[in-house]
Amino acid sequence: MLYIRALDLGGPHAFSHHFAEGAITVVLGRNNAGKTRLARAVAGLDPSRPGTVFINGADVSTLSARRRRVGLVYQAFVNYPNWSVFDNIASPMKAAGRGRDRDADEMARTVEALADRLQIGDLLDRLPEALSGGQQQRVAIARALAQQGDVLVMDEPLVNLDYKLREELSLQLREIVQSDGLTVLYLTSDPKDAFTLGDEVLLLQDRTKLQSGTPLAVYNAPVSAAAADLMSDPGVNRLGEQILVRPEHLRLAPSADGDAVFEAEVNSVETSGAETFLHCRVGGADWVARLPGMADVQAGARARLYVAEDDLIRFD
Amino acid sequence: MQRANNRAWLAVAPVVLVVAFTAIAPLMTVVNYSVQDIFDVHTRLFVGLDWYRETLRDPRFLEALARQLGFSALVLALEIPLGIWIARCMPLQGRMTVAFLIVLAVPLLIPWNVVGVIWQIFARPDIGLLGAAVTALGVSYNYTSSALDAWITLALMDMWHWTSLVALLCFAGLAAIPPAYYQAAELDGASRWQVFRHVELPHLKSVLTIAVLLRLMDSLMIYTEPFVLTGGGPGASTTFLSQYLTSMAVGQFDLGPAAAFSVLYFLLILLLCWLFYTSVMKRGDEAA
Repeated sequence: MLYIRALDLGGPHAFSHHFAEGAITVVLGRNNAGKTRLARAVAGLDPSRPGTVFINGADVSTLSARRRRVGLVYQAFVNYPNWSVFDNIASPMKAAGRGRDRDADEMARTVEALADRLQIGDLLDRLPEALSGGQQQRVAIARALAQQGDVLVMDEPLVNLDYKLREELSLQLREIVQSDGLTVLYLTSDPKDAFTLGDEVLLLQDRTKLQSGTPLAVYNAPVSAAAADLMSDPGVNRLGEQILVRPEHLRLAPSADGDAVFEAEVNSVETSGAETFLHCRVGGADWVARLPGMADVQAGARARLYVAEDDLIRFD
Repeated sequence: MQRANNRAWLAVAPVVLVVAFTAIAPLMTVVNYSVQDIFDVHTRLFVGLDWYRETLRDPRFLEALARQLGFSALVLALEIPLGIWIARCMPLQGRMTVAFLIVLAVPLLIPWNVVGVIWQIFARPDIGLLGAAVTALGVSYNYTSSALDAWITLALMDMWHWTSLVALLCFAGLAAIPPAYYQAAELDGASRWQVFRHVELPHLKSVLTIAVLLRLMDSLMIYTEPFVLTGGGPGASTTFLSQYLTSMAVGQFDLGPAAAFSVLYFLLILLLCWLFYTSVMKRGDEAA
């Protein structure tokens, strides 16, 4: 269990949150939203930051990073460069003094089990520099899991991987981290991660918590325009201050029951075959419509965009 | 493909020409001298490898060689750890960093013979700050009469002059280590020594290779500073290879033996640097 009380992330309000136990919480925020500060505070790397961190009911605020046993995975692939994959994965256990005689067998078994889980079992005697980026990050994840603590923090771990590897590892990550009943904080700026990985999602903006809940709940009922915008890729379309329209809710064809209609000037059309993005101007604002398949619209044309009244997000 | 290769030769031709005139031709001249006995410009006698044999049997050459190797080993053993230590003590950013960098750069900017003069005065037992201070403390110290004192002074001077280079290189290497590595080590509970041994040292490997190579080559060629400071004395206790060579070639005008000496000297430096470099690279390959 991880509970943070009145942590000063540098925003207007202190940060407090109960993280769901044994679940993955996707912490979603843009650059400078306070994600990394949160990660460092949980891991104990900023002992001077005001606030209290509880792990399993115990106040760990005064404990050193080492004694908190929080696993941390970074954006960069951080491994000891002159140690083999085996020694890298074993490093947290060695540091904890478990590399000696009687425990050595057990440690070796743990390392091998972790390596198998991350599909790097056949790379154990290689050096990190001889591995691909994806493999290096797998080693780093295994190292973090070898902390054998209750909390794992992953700070945008897939950002530096190329597209295919990112998709592949992202799909496996849930399985990899969940079997230990770990409480996982997954820091990201991509709303898609919230849906693929998150049991819960926590929105951060300007170093302040905006909203938290299951990804669907946060998607369906954002508490503010900023929250709706964070959970949307591309960002939400604004109609004045009070009304938002999600790009994926816009259609080119009217439905049977009452739709809201918008006159749009199409600036550009971006298509991937499977879907089409219309970049257009609506009532003086820049909008994006995300349409399934290929849309029969040319840049420079005018179009009517429809959206069901129920799908309009209103704030009063 | 063949045509592209030929054009590449054309592109490097200017470099080849310059190198040929500035390095290869003079070197070949020396090699040419080293197999002849030269009485004057018109009177030469081919003697084969005699000069090489003679040089290798010359006790003064062998003594200078031993001194040279000892001196290089000494200054490397002092300057490399000291340089790493200084680099680690420096703040990685901020105003103090700039101050450190400037102070460190100063010794590197001073002409070598000036360094010799500075230390010649600095270490004088009568008026030099260091020499007089040590003498006032009751330590008998005189680099012109004691071989040990001369060596200590030379080693100190070389450290003063060149440790900065090692420190600056290491600083650049340390500054390039992403902070995440230190955090990861902190999470593992690594001690300061372990952080140095397993995080910093591996990242410093390439800059240290360069630092050791530069210091090795330079220390093997040291000439100006001891020439100014001790003139090779007392006796021959600080006569290194370059000094002995100069006295042979310029002082006694023994061009043949001096040329053979030069070739041996050149090959020695080349060999030592090659041995060092390949052993470092080989270890790197094995590890990978």
